[in-house]
Amino acid sequence: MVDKTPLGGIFSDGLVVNRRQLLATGAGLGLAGLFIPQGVFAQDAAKQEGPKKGGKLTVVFPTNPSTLDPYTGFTASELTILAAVYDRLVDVDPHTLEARPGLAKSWDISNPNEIVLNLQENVTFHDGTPCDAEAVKFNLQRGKDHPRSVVKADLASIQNMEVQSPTRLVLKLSKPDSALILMFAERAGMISSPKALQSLGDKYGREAVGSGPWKLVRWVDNDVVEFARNENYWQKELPYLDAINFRIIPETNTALRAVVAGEADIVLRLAGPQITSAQKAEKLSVVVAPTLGSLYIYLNFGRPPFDNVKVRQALNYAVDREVFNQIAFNGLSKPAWTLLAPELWAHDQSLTNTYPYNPEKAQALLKEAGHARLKFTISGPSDQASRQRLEILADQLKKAGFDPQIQLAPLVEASAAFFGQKVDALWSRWTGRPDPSQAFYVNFSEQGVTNPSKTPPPPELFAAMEASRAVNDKEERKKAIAKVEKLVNDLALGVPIVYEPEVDALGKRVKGYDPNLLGKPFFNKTWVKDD
Amino acid sequence: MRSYARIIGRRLLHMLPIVLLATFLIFGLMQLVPGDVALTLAGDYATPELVEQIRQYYHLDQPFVVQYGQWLWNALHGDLGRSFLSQEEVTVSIMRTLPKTMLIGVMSILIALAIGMPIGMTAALRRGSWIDSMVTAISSLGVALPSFWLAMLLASFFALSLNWFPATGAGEPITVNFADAVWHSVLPAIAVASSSVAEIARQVRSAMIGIMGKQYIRTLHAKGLTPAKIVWQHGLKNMAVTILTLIGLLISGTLGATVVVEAIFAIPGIGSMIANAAVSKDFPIIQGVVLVMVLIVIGVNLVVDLLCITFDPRLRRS
Repeated sequence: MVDKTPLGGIFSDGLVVNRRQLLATGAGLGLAGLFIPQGVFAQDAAKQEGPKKGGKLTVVFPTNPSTLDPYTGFTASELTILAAVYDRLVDVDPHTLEARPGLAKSWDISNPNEIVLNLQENVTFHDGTPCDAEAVKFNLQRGKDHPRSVVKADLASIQNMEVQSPTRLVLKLSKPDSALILMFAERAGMISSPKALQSLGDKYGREAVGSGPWKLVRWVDNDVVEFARNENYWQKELPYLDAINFRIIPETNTALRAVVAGEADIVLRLAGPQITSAQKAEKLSVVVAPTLGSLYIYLNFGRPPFDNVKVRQALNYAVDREVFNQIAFNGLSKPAWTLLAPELWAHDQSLTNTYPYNPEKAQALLKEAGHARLKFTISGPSDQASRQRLEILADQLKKAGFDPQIQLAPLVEASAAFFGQKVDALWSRWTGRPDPSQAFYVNFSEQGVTNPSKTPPPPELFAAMEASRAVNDKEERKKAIAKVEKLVNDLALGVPIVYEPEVDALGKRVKGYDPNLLGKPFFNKTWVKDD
Repeated sequence: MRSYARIIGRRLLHMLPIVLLATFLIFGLMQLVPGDVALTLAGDYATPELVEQIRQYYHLDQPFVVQYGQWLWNALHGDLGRSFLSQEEVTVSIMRTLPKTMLIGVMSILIALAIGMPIGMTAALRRGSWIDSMVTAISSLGVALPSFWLAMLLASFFALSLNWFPATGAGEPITVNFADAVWHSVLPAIAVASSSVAEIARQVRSAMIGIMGKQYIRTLHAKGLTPAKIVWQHGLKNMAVTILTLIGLLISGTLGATVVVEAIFAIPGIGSMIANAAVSKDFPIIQGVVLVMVLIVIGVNLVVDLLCITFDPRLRRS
């Protein structure tokens, strides 16, 4: 949930580019007057103009990486940088986030209490040591044990591991955990060289040795992280780029200037005013793509006033998402009704417009709950965009019988105030997790991070959540997750506001850029074309 | 010679309590600012246990005085520690970022002197004329003009439209490619210099007016010296103390002014480093930078004082 990239973005529902189409046109699309011919697919484009090997890509990135050690880093968005140097055990379809083979060629989950990972053969780390089952085991064990590990919770269900052959690793689970596979598509699945981990000790993270498409050349703090092609990459045709550099520029206007001046090729996650500038710049293309993330009000549903379902539902009815979208995003966003993004494979499409704006109904529900007007405290990030958006919401809530008492602080502080039960609600964003079931575990389970009072979920919900992790068949899982999604929606355990797409600006030489639903783009299939 | 030694000795003695006080104060102030670096370090979806473990790992659970004492002890042994956030050694970070900021600072002062001195002197010599009024107006404007606004203007005109200078970045390190580093620093230096130009022009103007009204100047006129000789040889020499003091103040001020300008030009200097560190409460970086800044300010003041007594022997007695 805590993401250090700036909030913000103006984007259009109608202008959202399908990534496949984006690939097809080599991302050479301006946002204004965007027209995508139907039926044009990547294959067609590849015929016209295939990807070329070579060249260097410079990506502007808003924050210095916290570390290049995937298991101790803390900034969600830096996964983009880590993916240059590390392979993940499991890859995902960028558009639906369904699991795809990564370092693990396949996996067997027929026994619910264990996962068998079949690894790719002949993969080596950048230091020449083999990336085999022993190495994976070493990494996962480190993720469970390291004092500063941020993937401990992700790997909690792994009880022990057995290396059956260099390419076969069996994970014994303490309980069925079908979410684990997709955990391996993020930090937890990034595998470092055990040799480097052992020899570098605490200094690992300033250095990074993975098996990924590029090798780390140098990391100059708050300046640049440079990578060069891994000539021995196991996916023979990849990567296309000889080198990729991430320039760290926190100021979004400056970042955009760097791309306009041709000093960089891509700037990620533009905020409102910069999008307009980017659209006006002839040399740039603006890419708008959906992500898992949404703007969201977290509720402490374990104590008054939000322990009452009627109050929570009233709050959901009190928000005019369309007007919010118009004011905060120039009408270029999408109202949100659940924690799962509409593009996600498991999302139940029928859960739309479940709490249409209705201040009278909100007030009636409040009355039923015994409140003439309800005062509550809410913390939120103090950056300008977040503050303005919270003000829009507060204004709507006041009209529906609520009196929100706003407390602004830097993001981590605002979150801490909520987790420490100093406020009733938190205005922030839900950045999404690769496995849909995680959304509900993180937020509503008894140990859930954003369940500050550690209140057990209602038995029915808890049973549904457990069931969603105990089945492996995709269709069955989909049904099981839909049940959870519906229950959470009925119980109104939080207030989803709008889905937040990613808006990037690219120079014209960038081709094959394909952002993903994670909102953390990878560049292994990107190439450049210089005229 | 004795007076030089005395000044240096006295300054070095003064330095110790100042450094202690400054670092202690900053450390204390950072404790008062709400926020917890452990929360940041624990990352998304952190459990309270993890936050607590991280707090212990970095000794953030120890009393404030113990933490400060530990830092001081290590610093006295030449170890400024590592950044909490990036794990880079603080001395390495400072050695990398300081030259970039210093280059901008030095260039901005040179630019400010090159422009501010002549216009200040012209205004003083043509006192009451339209030139004088214009210089006064420009000076007020320069002080009022926010450097970040000027920086953005410079970037969009000279970098994006005309393509004369780079829009972002600091280029190669100064030791690797001096010309490249200077080229990248031109626009930032001009942005920082804008307020210094005004300051110098104003100070030079009033100092010059003061000097030109002195009796010895009248004597020089009476002796038949040319006005040019009077101004350049005698006037300027007597203004040296004012200018030196001013430069000393400007150097200290420039270090602060670069924070904003560095952000706009994406220059990884010491200003943007301390701004980042302050936001995320990266103590080792903050303490290290404060220490270096204090040493620089003290060093600059010392040099300025020594130069002043060289130019104005009267000061030796005081």
